[in-house]
Amino acid sequence: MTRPTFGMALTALLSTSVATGVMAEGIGGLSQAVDTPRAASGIADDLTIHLDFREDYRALSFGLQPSDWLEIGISFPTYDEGGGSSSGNELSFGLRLWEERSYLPGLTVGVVGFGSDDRGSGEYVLASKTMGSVQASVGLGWGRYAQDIAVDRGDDESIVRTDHLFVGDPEPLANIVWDTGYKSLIAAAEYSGVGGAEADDTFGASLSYEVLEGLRVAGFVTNQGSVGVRLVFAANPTRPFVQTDINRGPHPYVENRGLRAGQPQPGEQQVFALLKERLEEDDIQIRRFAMRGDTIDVTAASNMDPVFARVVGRVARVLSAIAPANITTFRVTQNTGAFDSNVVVLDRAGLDDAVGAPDAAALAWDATSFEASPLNRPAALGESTFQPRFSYGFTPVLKADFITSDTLELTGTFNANARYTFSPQTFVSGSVGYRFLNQWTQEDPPAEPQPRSDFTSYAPDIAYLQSLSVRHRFRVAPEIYSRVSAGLFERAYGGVSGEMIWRDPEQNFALGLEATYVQKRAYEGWFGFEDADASTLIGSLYANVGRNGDYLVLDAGQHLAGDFAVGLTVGRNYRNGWRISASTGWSEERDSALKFGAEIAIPLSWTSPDAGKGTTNLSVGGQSGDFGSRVSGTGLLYDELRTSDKRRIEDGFGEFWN
Amino acid sequence: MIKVVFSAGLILALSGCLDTFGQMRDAIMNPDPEVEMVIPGVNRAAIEQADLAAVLMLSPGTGIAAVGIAIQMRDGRIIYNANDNRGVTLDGGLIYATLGFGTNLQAVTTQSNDPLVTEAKAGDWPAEVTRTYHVSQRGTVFAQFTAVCRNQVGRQLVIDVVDANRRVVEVLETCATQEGDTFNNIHYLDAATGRVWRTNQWTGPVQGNMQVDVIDQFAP
Repeated sequence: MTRPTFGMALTALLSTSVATGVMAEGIGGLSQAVDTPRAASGIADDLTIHLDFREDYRALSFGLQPSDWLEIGISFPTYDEGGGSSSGNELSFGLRLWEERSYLPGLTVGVVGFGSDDRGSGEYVLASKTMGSVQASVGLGWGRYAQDIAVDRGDDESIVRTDHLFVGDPEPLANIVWDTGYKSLIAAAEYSGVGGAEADDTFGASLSYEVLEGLRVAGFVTNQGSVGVRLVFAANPTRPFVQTDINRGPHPYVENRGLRAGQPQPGEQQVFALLKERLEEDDIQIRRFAMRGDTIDVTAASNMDPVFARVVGRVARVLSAIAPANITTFRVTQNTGAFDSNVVVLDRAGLDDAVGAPDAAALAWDATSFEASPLNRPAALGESTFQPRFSYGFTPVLKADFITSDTLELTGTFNANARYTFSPQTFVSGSVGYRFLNQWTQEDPPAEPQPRSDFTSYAPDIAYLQSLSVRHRFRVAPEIYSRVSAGLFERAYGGVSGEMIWRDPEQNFALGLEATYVQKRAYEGWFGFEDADASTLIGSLYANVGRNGDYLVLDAGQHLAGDFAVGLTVGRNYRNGWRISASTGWSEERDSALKFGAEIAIPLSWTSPDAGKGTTNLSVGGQSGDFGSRVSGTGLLYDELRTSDKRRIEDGFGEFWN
Repeated sequence: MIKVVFSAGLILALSGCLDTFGQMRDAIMNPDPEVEMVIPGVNRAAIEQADLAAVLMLSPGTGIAAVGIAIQMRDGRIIYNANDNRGVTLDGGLIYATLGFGTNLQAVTTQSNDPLVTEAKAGDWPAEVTRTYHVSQRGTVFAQFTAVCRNQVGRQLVIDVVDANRRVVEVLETCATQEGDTFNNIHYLDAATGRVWRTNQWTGPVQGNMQVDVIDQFAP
């Protein structure tokens, strides 16, 4: 029996609805002083997570910065209003139009709540100047920055509403932010022309303190009687807090020149033994080794290093020192668990020319090509018969409901997971959950089962079967990857599912198709079904775009409600294993404003002393409505194959010699 | 670490009335200890008896120290390697590359008459030298930091380099990158030949300064 590394997956699933009401606070994940915006002055890849708490308002916001001049915010605010509450889902942009100069201020334009004209929406134009440790901003605001009730500012009835932008009488706003330099305290003061219950103008002040590296807590107060607390986590995946490669240096590279050809040459068994021994010191395992003609073919994997280019480089370094002189090609196969996904082909002479050069990574990349792994390969050294095994683990999951709650109501679930693996391609797995924390308002089952909106009708406070399914993965051609799954996929659905993905290792895109037939699971009990079924047929495009680790996933097809829907996810992969993405969707059956979600995956090496390639996931948004929703838990193949994308490996090639 | 060196450089560059050389030297050679470092013991007699070229490598920024033996010459540069594959590549007295000390300096390109590379005597150094540091980043192209370094010759003295007394001349380099960052290097050159016995050089924005003490010089 083996037990996987204990890891914590933290998931916040925030169900959202359209916001209406009387007060507007917070600005959707963009840079801010107290409630007024400040200049977009961060740098590319900055990431912030804001949690705002005050008596009549709470919000969880994500701030992402894809470039130095653009901020994107995704926010989930909840407003108390009388006896109830309402929630929003805001997509916001801050655009740095003009960089600050020695004597000239910078200029920033922002749109909060893009696509919606509801209470959270607003626009602003700001001029900002930094003087030492002080940043001052003055500007004009529309919508939430000009009215105490900013609703229905336009007539446009389309899904993305735009005719209200920068419309109406603006109000002035100004703020000043001072980094005191004393115990990381930052003070801010602001003025806004928006009136409130207590005064015709609003003044606010805040003081923030960095309690841990990257985590700040701020307290703030306004003359309108509003007080609150804000938590801000800030990080930049390109600037890690810790260095990841100081455990050990790489093996010295030895060029294949001169007298080596005249010396006694090692045999296949000898090279394999040396390679295995030296790479074990780097936590790299050799799962297959063959030396035929002028080629060495190695299947290598690391459980610790998320940068496959560095794994390939370390294999090449050792091979350079021990391979016979007649070997001209190193082939390193990437294995994902179920699949041999890539063969990275290295030209030894090219590496000889590259090592030690000022452009060594670029030269090594020029000496590299990609191939699909053959379906069948002859027997080789290092291959072992797979031993079936049982493994288990535990996962706590936190969810917050923004639909039914008057406060930020949470559920906490403890999942016990088990898996029996028959072969690298086939396993059966199950998960039993128990809700140890339940603040949700439990609903009675509806007369007619609904695709998703009945999620609060599933029985709480008892152990329940979250999932129990069997999954088999296989290739039907070198470039076609397939899966079949059957069983109870998730709390709400069980059935059968099949999927195929075409991917050419030399290309930066892949195409997938998933077909699923499911029955709605019973609201009570472990194995029953409701009298409702559904089938989905969804095609997907997975593409790596640009050269910054950016990617997009486009899904289109028939979803659970029988509706045709399109989903779009855009994100960025980082070479240290971080992944940040935002998503939205459109359905032919839904005429409300677009909704947005976000996901952040952080490698366990950042959160656990045990390191490893697993990730801690934090997601917001996601599937909560009935339309544009698909079955989860079927085991989409791209989740397994994404680390094999050529662009991902190219992104990490700066680490080839490390 | 880099903050310390940058700060020290910036403060002292702006403070004309200070004993600049001595204070900068002290700031470089005795940085605030951010990470505890265990310095390995060196058996000088054994190294000399085996006729090995060897260096002691110290990285205060990452708290790593190791003794490296010359194992390879590539393009005229000497590669020193320690048991755990940590190492430096020296081009004359210039730290050309580092491995296993944190973020790895991939290469340094410099002008043909760089006195650190040619190991010129202190009095023969040109007024300034331009070097470009190559550090890995996302993708296949390394990040580059180009710095102009101006030097200042200090006193002659005798220093202890791993249990051997060496008569040296100290040379301080004050360097500024095109981005406006500053750092400092300090070198202790053999008073008679100009060869480096001890050098403390910048090796990248995260790794900061590293010190290399030459235990036994490479002799081809």
